[in-house]
Amino acid sequence: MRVAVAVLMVAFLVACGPNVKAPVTVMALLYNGSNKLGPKQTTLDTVTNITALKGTVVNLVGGAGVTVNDPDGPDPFSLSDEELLNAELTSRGGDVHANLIDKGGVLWPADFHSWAMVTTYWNFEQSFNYFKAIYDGEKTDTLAGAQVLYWGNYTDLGVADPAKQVLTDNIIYFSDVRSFLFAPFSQLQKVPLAMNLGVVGHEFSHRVFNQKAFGNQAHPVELRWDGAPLNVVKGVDEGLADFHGWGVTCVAKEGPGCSTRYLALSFADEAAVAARDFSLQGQQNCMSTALRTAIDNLHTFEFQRVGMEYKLGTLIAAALYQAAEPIGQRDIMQKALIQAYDDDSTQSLGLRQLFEANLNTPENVTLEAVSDTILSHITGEELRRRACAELWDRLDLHPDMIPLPHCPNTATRGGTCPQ
Amino acid sequence: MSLGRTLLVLALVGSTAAWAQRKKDDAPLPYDEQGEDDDKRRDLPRRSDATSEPAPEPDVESKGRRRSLASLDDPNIGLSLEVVGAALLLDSSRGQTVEGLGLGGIRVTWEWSRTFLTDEFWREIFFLDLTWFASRSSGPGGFGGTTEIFDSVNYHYFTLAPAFAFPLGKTPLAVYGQVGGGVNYQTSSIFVQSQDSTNISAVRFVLQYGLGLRARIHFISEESFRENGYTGIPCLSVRLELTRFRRAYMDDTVIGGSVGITF
Ligand SMILES: [Zn+2]
Repeated sequence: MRVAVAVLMVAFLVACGPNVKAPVTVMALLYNGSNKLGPKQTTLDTVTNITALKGTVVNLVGGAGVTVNDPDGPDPFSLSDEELLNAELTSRGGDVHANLIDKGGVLWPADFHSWAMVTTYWNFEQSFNYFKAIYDGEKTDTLAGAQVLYWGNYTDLGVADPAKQVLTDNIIYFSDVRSFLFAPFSQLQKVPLAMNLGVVGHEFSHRVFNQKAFGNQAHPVELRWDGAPLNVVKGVDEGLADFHGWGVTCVAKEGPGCSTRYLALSFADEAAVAARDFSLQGQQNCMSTALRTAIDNLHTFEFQRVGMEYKLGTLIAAALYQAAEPIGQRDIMQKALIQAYDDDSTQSLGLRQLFEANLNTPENVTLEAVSDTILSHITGEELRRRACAELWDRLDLHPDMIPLPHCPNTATRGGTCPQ
Repeated sequence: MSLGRTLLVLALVGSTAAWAQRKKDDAPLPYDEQGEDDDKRRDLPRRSDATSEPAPEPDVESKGRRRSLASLDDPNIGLSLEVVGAALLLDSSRGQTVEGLGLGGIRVTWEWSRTFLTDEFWREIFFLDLTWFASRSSGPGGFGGTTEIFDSVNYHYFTLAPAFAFPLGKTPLAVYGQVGGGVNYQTSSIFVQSQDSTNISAVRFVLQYGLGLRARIHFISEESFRENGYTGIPCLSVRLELTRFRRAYMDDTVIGGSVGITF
């Protein structure tokens, strides 16, 4: 009997995990004084379940799996959102269980993935806060609440080599299931991508692009396009994602401070990181013949296979950066981009409207058309003039052939790139 | 830190053993011939030879006394020392169900009913495990992290778990079930970008429960026993076990076993 009582007492003592209300004070791997990551105290302001890392911004899910391009599966374009989710989210997964130690009211992660998951949630919270600020009063309800499939399995049955069907060393926003997916790391042995603030901000931007420019379609009909128009759309999506990812590094609390080289934290390949650095002066970030040829001629599958969407994206981000930074108008540019995604006012239609108007005439979705859409949302003559000059120069636009009605008359082509 | 814990466990083991020994000295039970059950009699045929041994004399010198008593009584006072080896299926932080690790340990088992109960059935039923289970994951491999960011962890479980055994007929086997509790002592050292590690540890209550199969294999052959009598280590004890821990809000599973000696 005494044994039974003792056992019962132990059972009560062990039953409960940390049950705390946001803001929750935690340790996460953030930037310290020497600009390295390290354990640092912070707060998660939106969590509702700290051990499961669920909250109003995102919900982490462990053990989930996505399967795409199943040759025996239905055509994703033919499915409703719910059918698509059921077809592709092949394993729903379950709660994660962060191992947390309470030290004087501060919750310390007590193993690697607990550190990683707390830091991941923090990164998403910072990213959400960034977008909330530049949404500038617009509702962000739909932006919040995505699942993060932590250590998720993403299997692409369309890949011929079975050994390469499972995604590793990546993090994606996959709109089909409206979830972020952090795939296992394998070759990348630096900072895991989910622990990289700028990378998470980049992925968050893809969710924004999907919700706004694609009108929140799970599997956008625009993906039926191929070649130049879709290559342009992919490049714009990546370029804006890099630009916003950098924006997140600039404003995050306990953040690293502005860094256009946030990829360097996670990637050992210096040359690849430098190639994505849109702040670099000089002719690196100019349209090349190879890129122009790729945009115009490659099927989008091939265009992406060789990573050309990032090359194009870097040029777009570089133009936006060089237009705004020298005159201190970063936040005006960021807000303009949010407006440019989706706008049905006749003076300044958004990207969504550009795409939807040209579903059957995708050849009209050009770098000029996309640039003009962005320009039409930039307030302030000077910033708009600079942006036009930069886009014109870096993307090698041809306003003589495809006009840029929203480029101010005072603008001339920028002088960085060879003509 | 783990050395200190090891010493603590060894001290606990030592004191428990000493206490059990003292109890045994006080208790009249081991002298009770009728206390043995049938299967013990079969395993230890010395009983049939008992008449050839002289009855113990109160003033006989200690060496001869121990020898003659041992040959008369059930040699098991019911105290075992075992080494545990198992797979630890640790609750997966990242929601992958479990994380597999190796686990080792030391267990002291006291079949206290042999000392305190006289009924020949109930004498075989109860025992108590005092166990130290230990497991670790070091460096970037497994769920440890990347070469640039990794966490090395140690898990120590110190538990006391009463058990109920059900002997399987005339075999040396018994199935058992147990529920107990104790503490888990965990350490974590996070290493980031070649900086000094940051360390943290915690002691948390654990609930332990499980099932197993326990065997007591006699160490001394009948022939050897007839010639030399009981010389000290009567049994090899072996276990297979499925043990679970509720560690705060996490669930860990141990699949493995232990082997040791039983006095
Ligand atoms: Zn991207």
